[in-house]
Amino acid sequence: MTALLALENVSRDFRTPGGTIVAVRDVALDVAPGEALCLVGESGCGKTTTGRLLAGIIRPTRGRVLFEGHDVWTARGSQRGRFRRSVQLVHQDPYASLNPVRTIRQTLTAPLLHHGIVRGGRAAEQRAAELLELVDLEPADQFLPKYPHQLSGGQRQRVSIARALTVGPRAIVADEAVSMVDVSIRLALLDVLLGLRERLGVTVVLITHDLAVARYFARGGRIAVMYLGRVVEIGPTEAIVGAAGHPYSAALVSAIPEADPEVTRTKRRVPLRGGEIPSLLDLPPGCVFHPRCPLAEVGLCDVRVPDLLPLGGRAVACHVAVREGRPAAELLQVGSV
Amino acid sequence: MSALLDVRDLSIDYRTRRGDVRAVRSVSFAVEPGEAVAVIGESGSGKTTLAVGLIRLSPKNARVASGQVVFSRNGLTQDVLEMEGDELRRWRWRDCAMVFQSALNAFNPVITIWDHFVDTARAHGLARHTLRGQADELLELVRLEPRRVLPAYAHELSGGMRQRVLIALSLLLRPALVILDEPTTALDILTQRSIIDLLRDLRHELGFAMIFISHDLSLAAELADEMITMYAGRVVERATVRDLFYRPRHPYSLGLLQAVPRVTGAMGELGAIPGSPPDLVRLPRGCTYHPRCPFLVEECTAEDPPLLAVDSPGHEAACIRWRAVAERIGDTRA
Repeated sequence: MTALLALENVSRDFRTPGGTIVAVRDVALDVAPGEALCLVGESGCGKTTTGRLLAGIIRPTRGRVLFEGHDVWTARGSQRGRFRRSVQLVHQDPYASLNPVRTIRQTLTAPLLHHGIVRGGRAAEQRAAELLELVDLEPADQFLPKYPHQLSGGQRQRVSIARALTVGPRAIVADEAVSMVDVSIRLALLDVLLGLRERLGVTVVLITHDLAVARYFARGGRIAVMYLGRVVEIGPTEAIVGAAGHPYSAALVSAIPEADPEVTRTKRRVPLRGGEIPSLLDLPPGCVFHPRCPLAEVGLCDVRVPDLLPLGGRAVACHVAVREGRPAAELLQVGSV
Repeated sequence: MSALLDVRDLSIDYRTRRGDVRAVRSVSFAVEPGEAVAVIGESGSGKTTLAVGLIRLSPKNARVASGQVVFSRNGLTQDVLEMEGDELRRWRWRDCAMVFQSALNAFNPVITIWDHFVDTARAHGLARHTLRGQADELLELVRLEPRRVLPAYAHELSGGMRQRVLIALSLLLRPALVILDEPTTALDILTQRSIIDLLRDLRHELGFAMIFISHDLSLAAELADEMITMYAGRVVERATVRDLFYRPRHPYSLGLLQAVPRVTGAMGELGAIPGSPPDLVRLPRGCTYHPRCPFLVEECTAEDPPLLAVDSPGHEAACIRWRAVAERIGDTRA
């Protein structure tokens, strides 16, 4: 099956006062229709840039972004318009992304009318009400006349999702879409996104720094772990969470504090060698993780950049784990209890 | 021995355009010397109002409506709410320090880290000639290189390094109590881990008590001895960390626990709490949690239940249905 969305060895540079940084480097990624995929990593790992590349908001410096096999940046006319509508981005901050002087009715009906998806005010209003019901804002006529400030953070984020749905997208890229809402309602928002997948077949790519959120969202789906602009591991969620293939993923899984005193106080940790994450302006040679990696081997990891290679059902960019044929979590004797 | 900090019946109001809002309602709890107390809750729970109220840094439109905050150290007992001027300034930092949430805003951007140490020392009458030695020692305690960090400006440091510097600064006068507001929130996972380990080690080494305010249950699971759950300005449950995580008795505590997915082990029973955190201007009648509560019965809408002892020692919950909560957990975890 053709991937719905694909990144073909994509890199993206940014010029900064300190020099040019490569925020995303040689990333290859296929997203299947109807898939739930999570991009996970710490700040500066390139997950947001990757999301923006997937959504066609920014251009790759090298490589191609494909939608149903077609390069989206060389597409013209109607094909380009179709792509733009087909992939929608939902931002982290629902306070900033909704226009404060527009009612929810205006926010939702404007794109419907502008793109000619429905004709006439009444049809637009009816469609807007249906979209609100899809994101569990019911009864819709109670929400349509409201302004963003009259809604809670979680409700606002639902409106953002409904707005993304106005143009009938095939895929939604949600960037930290739940990290700003209260703990008690996060899962409900994730369920809304997962529901779109089930009910409408929409592909959802969720970008998050929170592995627990990723595990919940992408259960049965896939996780891609990013570090300093590269995908270091990609594969089935439970495989990665259960026994991380890459030493960096293993470090993340072992370091995450858990909401269970016994588990979190007795968990085995991956001992990292260096503390701070290197600067994108001054990346180490070879594997970018080698200065912190407990598995690093001199003459190998500090010299050669590892490729993403298959390892037990997933792909891992680690010389040592791939050579040993065992996930890093096993080599480091950490992982699921 | 008397408690280090004894908060009694504290209520704090805000004046707003929509009328007076009671953000903290009759909160009582104690912190023993060396103890770590976690205050958990979501937006509108009053946890941050409580924290800044304790150290008397509330915004101008806040007013303490009732209560006492009794601090006892070295045989001396004082009500923090009665302190004025120099007395209050001396108490702050010397006895009780606070580490704020947004580590960048807590710094003056145009002076170096060393100057922050100098300013803090001067404000509290610390001798200048021994300061460099103290600063070096503290920075090494928080695992930073003094030679690299002291001449730097805040923006030149990473988020994790700034948080470490703030912790070091808060410990400069060896306070008996440190209040931390969301100390790990905006940090990456590996940095969070190092700050948590650091706080645990420092507490072990220096023996200060901590109150930390967080919406993050996992931080409490890591560091707390005692826990307080707040909802709509009230304490709705108070328990040891193990009781709260394994034997919660308030439906809101249970709801929060089930709203947080785990990475290790089984995923368990998960679900969001329906509805949203309450609007403090229009609080529901009766128990303020009742509109979101799966254990709701008719009496819950009649009056707000008091905080009362439940089935384990020192464990209190403000819920008339706590037995039903206990039964429910028994069913699912047996």
